[in-house]
Formats: sequence, structure tokens, C-alpha cells
Amino acid sequence: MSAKSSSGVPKNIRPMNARKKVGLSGDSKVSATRAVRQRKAASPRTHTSLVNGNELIKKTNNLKISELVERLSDEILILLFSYLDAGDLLVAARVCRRWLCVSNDNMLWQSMYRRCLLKTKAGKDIGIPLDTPTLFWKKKCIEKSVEFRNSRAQANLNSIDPFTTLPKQISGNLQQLGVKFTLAFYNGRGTHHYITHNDCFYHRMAVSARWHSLGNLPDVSRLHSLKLLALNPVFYDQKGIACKNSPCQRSLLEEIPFSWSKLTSVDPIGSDSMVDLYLIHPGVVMAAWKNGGGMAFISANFHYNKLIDRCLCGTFNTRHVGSAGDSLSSIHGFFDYNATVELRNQRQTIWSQQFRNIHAINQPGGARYLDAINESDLYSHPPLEKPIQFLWISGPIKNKTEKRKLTLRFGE
Amino acid sequence: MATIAQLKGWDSEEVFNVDGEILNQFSSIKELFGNADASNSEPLSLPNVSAATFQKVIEWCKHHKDDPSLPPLKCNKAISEQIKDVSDWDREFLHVDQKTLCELILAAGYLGIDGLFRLTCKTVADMISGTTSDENNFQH
Repeated sequence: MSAKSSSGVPKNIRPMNARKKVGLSGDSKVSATRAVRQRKAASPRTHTSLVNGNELIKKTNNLKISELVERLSDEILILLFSYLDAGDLLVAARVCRRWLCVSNDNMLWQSMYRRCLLKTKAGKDIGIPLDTPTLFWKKKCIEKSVEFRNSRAQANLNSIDPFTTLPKQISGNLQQLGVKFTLAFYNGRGTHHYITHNDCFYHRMAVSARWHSLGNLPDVSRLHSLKLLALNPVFYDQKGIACKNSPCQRSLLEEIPFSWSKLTSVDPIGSDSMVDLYLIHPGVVMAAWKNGGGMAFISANFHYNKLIDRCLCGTFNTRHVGSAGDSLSSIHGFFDYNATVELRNQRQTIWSQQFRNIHAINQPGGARYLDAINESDLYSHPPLEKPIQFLWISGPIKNKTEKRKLTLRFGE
Repeated sequence: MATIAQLKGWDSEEVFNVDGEILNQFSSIKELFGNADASNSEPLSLPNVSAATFQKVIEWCKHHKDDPSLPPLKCNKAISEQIKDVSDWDREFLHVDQKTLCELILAAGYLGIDGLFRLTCKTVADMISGTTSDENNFQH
């Protein structure tokens, strides 16, 4: 061990990687030379039958090559990095400190800026020399990329859906930008657990996201707060599709206090033979396994109203606060409004109806009572009372794929 | 063609006889030899290149001796667009472990073999791209 640490494990490699090297044989120089000699003795042309990089990494894990990579000069690394796109370059930056320094090189980012972000050849930015402070071009690249993304997000929002009075393109733009929704659980010791949505369905008025891979969560009773975040990729390829490795900006959508014992002590809002459903926030439902089996899934709905701004303009800790919306009288509530009510499951809309000329009065507990302004209007919206059947596939839930039927009944 | 340079790796006494066609591709050291007949002089030891690597370098150079010289890279175009597709022969040639690949980069950089240098860099970059930093074991 001591021989190894003195034999050139580079100091600037993270401790984790240093740990990985434990168990490798002998002094590195000796083993390198020996390996070379062995290869030569066998046949210099014997190629290992490796197919791709990953397999190669697996098979050569026990070879000690870090000091060889260390011998690559900064210039060679820069040339090497210049083959990478922005997302991959940022990943490489996280490998070790030296790679971080090299990957921040102004020349790399300036050429990235020129070829990916500059639309016209004679841009005014091109005159800026390379000997700017470190990180200048990297920051500029990221800023410009975010600027492009945000302007794309706002594109084509003028066409309004007459039924919902919301822009038609919201769901299209969100999908095009590759926005993802993430849960962030906090436990008492400040550790965060992030879970990206498993599936996501875009409806006419809202998007519903669901998380059911909750297996990695620690003991649910220790969790005490929950954040719903939108993840926005920063880098896009030429076709405008988010780069696979792109870093993401986060924007807070909701922050909800979370107490498992308090939540599950009240009566569930719905249940079937396997799970109980609890409302943890308006639009956010949590399902718990019966008999204390923990959390089954979480489902959240985000209404399209200002959703693009909320997704793009918030930060990790603060929600986007837009211009003041409708001033809502605390006594009279909405007046002369149209309301569209939709009943959905995760995937599809089951029933929807629009009510015109209504006013709403705030009720205690945050509920609103909707009523028609004119008596005569009441008859154009007769109370709905019919059984609605829909299928509920519990596929992701503990691998049971049976289909369930729920019957809901709406009355006055 | 006659041997005009004698070279050897740093780790072995094995001497490689290099003819003019191949020496011409070593842009950083070809000037050392000029047109003189070097067959009688002392073999030159290459400090950054091992014998096994040098063997591979020569193999590559023999195969690529008729390639036209490469245009310089332009920085306002994606580098991946400026590099032509890797040929089957090159792909087979680079079917080696990471260590050999590293040594090849070093050797190509040291000897100034532009084509091999670009090719190996691209290969490594392809290995890095599409991985996460935790998976990125190229170095480790």
C-alpha cells in the first residue's frame, strides 16, 4: 500500500478513486513495464476482443493506467476534449481537479460558442480575445444557451385554446425542451433524495407526473419535507433536442412539509385493496401500501397556468413569482368567470365540462363554492350523476398487472 | 526504400529501421535525420515511446503512408465534422486496451503524427462521451 501511494497515484484524484485502487498489484512502474513486456512477448498484434468502451473499461479495470493519463499533457487533453459536446465536457470536468482545470479552457468554450450558439458568422462577440479571465467563455456559453432555451419556450404561445383559454403550445414546448419533474425528499440530517418522474402525461389543461420508483428512499418516517422541482436541460443539439448528458437547471414548483405519521393518521381520500390514497397538497397525491408497507407512488398535477415561467424562472429554493394575477376578493371570490372542470386519471381525461357565468365564494379550508350567477343558468348545467368506469393498471406497483375497476359517483 | 533512421523505444534495445516514407510522417523528428544515411550511426532512443507502442505506430504509418496530408483544424466548425469516418482498418487497429491507447496518444503527439493523433483522441473522446462522471472510468 505504502509503495503504491508513493508511486504516483496522482494527488488530485478524488479519494473515492484512490480507494478503488486498493488491491492492485505492486509498484506501478514495475507492473507497467511488465505488462508491456508480456504483451510484446506474446505478440504485439494480439488485440483484446473488446467491442465498446464500457466493456473495455470493465475488462481493463485491473490495469493501472491513471499515471499514463496523467502523462498526457494539458494540450493533448484540450485536443481530446475538443471532440466532446458541452454536456460530455461538463461530465469530464467532474472526473478530477486537473480535468476540471483543463476543461474550463477558454479556447474550448469559445469554439463551442462559435459553432453551436452563434447564429450569424459576424457576431459582435467574436472579437473578444481569448485572454479573458478564466471561465469567461464557459459562462458565456451557458448563459447564451439558457437564453436560447427560454426564448424557444416562449415561442408560439399566442394561439389560445378557446375551451381552456390557455395557450395551445404549452405542452408541446415543455416536451420539446425536455423538462423533467423531480421529487426532492429531505430527511432530518439534511440529506436530499432525488427521484425523477417515471412517467408523465400531458393533458389539455395540466400535466400529471408520477413517481413510483421509490425503493431507494430511506425510512419514510424520517422524511420531513418534499420539494417538487422542474429540471430544465441547458444544452441542446443541432436539432433542438436536449443533450443526453446536459446539466439541468432546477426550478422550484412546490415545497411541501411532509410528515408520514401525520399524513397517514387521517382517513385516506380513496383506497382499493392494495393502496390508500392521501392528499398531501392540492394536486399532489401519495399512495401508501396497506398494512404499513410504505410509500407506493406519488402523483402530481401541474396546471398549465404560467407553468412555463414557473418551470424555467424559479430557482432551487425560490418559486417563480410572476406578475400579480387576478385580484381575488376574499368575500366574493371569482365573479363572472368560466370554469372548466376535468376529471382525469393519470393518462387520460374521463370527463370534462365547462361552466360559464359563475361566481365562486371562498370556503373555509381553501375550498371554493361555485355557483351560477343566474338561476336560469343552473338548469343548463344539471347536476351530473352517472357512474363512471375507468381502468386502473397497477402495473408498476409491485409487478401486479391486473386491471382494476373503480366506480365513481357524482352527485349534487 | 533504404533505411535512413534507426530508432528504438525507451524500454528495450530492439532497433527499428525506419525508411523515408515512414519517417516523413514523424513531423517532429524527421528534420533530425535529413537525407543522411543513418544506418551506421547510433540508434536514437525515443524517450516517450515504448518498443511495443512504436511497433504499432509503425504498423499504422505503413498502412497510411499514401494518405494525403491533413488540412489544419478550423475552430469554428465542429471537430467531429472535420474528421472523416474512422475506417474499418483503423477501428480494428485501435481495438486495444486503454493503456495502449494512452501510449499511442503520447507517441503520436511526441512524434507529430497528425492523423494518428487525431484518430486516437477521437477514440478516447468517444469513450468519454455518453457516460456519467461516475461511470467515467476511462481514467480509473
